[in-house]
Amino acid sequence: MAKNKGIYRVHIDPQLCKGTEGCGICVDLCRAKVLAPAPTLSARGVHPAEIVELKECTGCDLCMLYCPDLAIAVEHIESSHHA
Amino acid sequence: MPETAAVIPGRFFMQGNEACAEGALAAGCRFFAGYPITPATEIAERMAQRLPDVEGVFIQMEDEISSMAAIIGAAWTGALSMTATSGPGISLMLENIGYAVGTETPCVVVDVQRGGPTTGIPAVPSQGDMVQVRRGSHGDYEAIAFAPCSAQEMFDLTVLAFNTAERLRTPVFIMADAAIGHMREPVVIPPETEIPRVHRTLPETGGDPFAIQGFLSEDVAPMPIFGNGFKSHVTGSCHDGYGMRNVVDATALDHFVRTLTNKITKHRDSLMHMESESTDDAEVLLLGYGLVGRAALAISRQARSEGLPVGCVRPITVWPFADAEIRALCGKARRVLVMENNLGQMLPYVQAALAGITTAEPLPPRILGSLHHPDHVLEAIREVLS
Amino acid sequence: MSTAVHPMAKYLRPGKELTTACPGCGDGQIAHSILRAIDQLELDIDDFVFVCGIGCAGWIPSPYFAADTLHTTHGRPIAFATGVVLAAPDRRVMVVSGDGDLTAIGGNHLIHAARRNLDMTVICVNNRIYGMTGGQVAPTTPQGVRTVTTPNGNPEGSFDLCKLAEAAGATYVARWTTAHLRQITRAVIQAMQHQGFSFIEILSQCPVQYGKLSREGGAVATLDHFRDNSVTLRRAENLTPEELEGRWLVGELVAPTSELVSPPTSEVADASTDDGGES
Repeated sequence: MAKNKGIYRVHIDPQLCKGTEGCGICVDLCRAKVLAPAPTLSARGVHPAEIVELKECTGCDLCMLYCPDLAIAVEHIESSHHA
Repeated sequence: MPETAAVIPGRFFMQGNEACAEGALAAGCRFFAGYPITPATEIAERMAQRLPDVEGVFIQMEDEISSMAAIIGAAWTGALSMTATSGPGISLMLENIGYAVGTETPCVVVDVQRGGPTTGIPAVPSQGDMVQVRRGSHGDYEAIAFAPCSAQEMFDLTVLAFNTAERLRTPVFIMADAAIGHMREPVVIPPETEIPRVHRTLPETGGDPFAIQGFLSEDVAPMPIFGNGFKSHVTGSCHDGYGMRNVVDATALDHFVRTLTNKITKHRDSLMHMESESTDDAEVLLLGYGLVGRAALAISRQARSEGLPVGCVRPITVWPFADAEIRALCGKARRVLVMENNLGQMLPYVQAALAGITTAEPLPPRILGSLHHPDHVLEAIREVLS
Repeated sequence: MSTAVHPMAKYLRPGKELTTACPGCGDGQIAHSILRAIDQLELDIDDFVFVCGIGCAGWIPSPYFAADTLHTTHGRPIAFATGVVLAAPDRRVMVVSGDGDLTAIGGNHLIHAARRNLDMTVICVNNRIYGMTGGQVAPTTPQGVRTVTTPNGNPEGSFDLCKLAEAAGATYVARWTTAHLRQITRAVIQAMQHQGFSFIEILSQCPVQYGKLSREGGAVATLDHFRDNSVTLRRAENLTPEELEGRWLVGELVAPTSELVSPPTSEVADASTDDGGES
């Protein structure tokens, strides 16, 4: 893991996220443990994924790639690698 | 005879099935998918020979189900498409026929009927599929079908079938039988310029694709065929005017079913074609369609020449049912003898149309699958008149 | 969120971004892998005709993709697509449908289109069950698995779909799972560029039906299962038949030699996939 992680912003759309109870793929995939199930319910009545440790994000984009619902978008503000 | 043009004008001694294929080509058909089945296979054979010459496509599919599917797929790319089969093939095609109706896909399905039920006798004519094409697929829907009585009508009505399919965006049936399909008669093919051709309307290109309403208009929505950037969504699911699926609301289903039905019934009068003779003063009317209708006409004339007050009604459009026309023509007759090469498939519809007005009775041939013999019919006429 | 719109969102039909797929379903992952292939090749999605059948996978392009879509009767998308591709050879025809639709009721059309080597790409989403109708056994359900129509365990064997497609005549055949999304995109790219019949089988999780009934588990558990039990061709060479039992052979299984993708050296491999550097 590079010391200079780069700056990334992860956006999760709670309207599209179908909830970590039934899905949870992004939480499981993220090795940097950026994501976790939200403690509160979204308007859809589920616990969506939420960002808990953004500074640990390495910009691997796996969450964005693997989310079945296009609910996650990763912004590369300053990239530490070519993704 | 050089056969590289789609329309080869002239007078020919031609088999009914071949005339049907020529009618399709004349109407602009450039895609045929089918599966061999007696007594329709000659249509496929003719199309296989002729389509490559006119830059069309022929494919023999693995079964009738996929044949119907393929002609629908082709129609959605803009092609005029057709398949031809017999009773068992129609049975297999029914699901996809319903799909064509529900998605408003123009296409022509030729049914060269044979002795049924089930495998029956492939090379013997019958009129056993009349109700199947009307009600065989599930759900409420309207059908359009024409019944040719000659090789010439195989040509003419196939042209009409394509034009009707294009005008109303729906599958149209040609109800022939093994006898018409296989008999050879003079057929006149006019020059191409004299053949009417109707083509479906399309939405305007270049607009907002999501604003296109390509479905569910009683006056026939423009067809958003593929390849024009329409982002067309074609589904057999209940859908709205935009083609968007709605499998939640009953009101959506109500709109879907009623609009599809009204699209046909609203234009019903323009679909009616009929032949009739000596109906004004007839006490007995012979009602027949297809080849049997030709026998009805001949026997009616023979009866007249013997002094019997007989007339004839030959529906050419068999679906939608010509109830009003039959009422108008048959109302004064004492009896209507419904001549069908089956045990009475159009009969209940004729009886319902004439309920309270006059009596309609079935008159199949003495031997099902054979043609009505004049003696047999005249005997029945005399029995009514006595 | 204007600077963080998902790069694939531009291909979606407005108002249809929220799909009806179950939480954790692999369908969405496959949808996006397909869109990424189109995006990477910079193709115009209006050049495509997506043809799909009945079942959850049929909802991958319909109504999600903003493109010409033909959602057909059950089992028949390949037959409808045959008409499309023959009547309009300039269209890029892609069939996306499920294992029940394409190989049970639709099996006949699959083998004949493969035999004809028609120029189309068929993506078979294999969730090993009939999901939409509530979890009935499929020709791809492994022997012994409990489903709602095999409550005492499936007594039947299951298809090897890639071998079926190959034997029928498909000229590009690949298998991947939803744990291999980058590889799926690469396979779709290869398939779209291949002239002829391309068949891509994608093992996909069905947490609500298959996962529950088989006790395999939820989306994460099945993805782990796919990851742990996928074997590339290269690795398979060193394994015994017993070691391969119950595992999936993944990769490009049939391709013209000139079209084989050589393993990329510079691309960052999925951190989550153990593919032995194969792809």
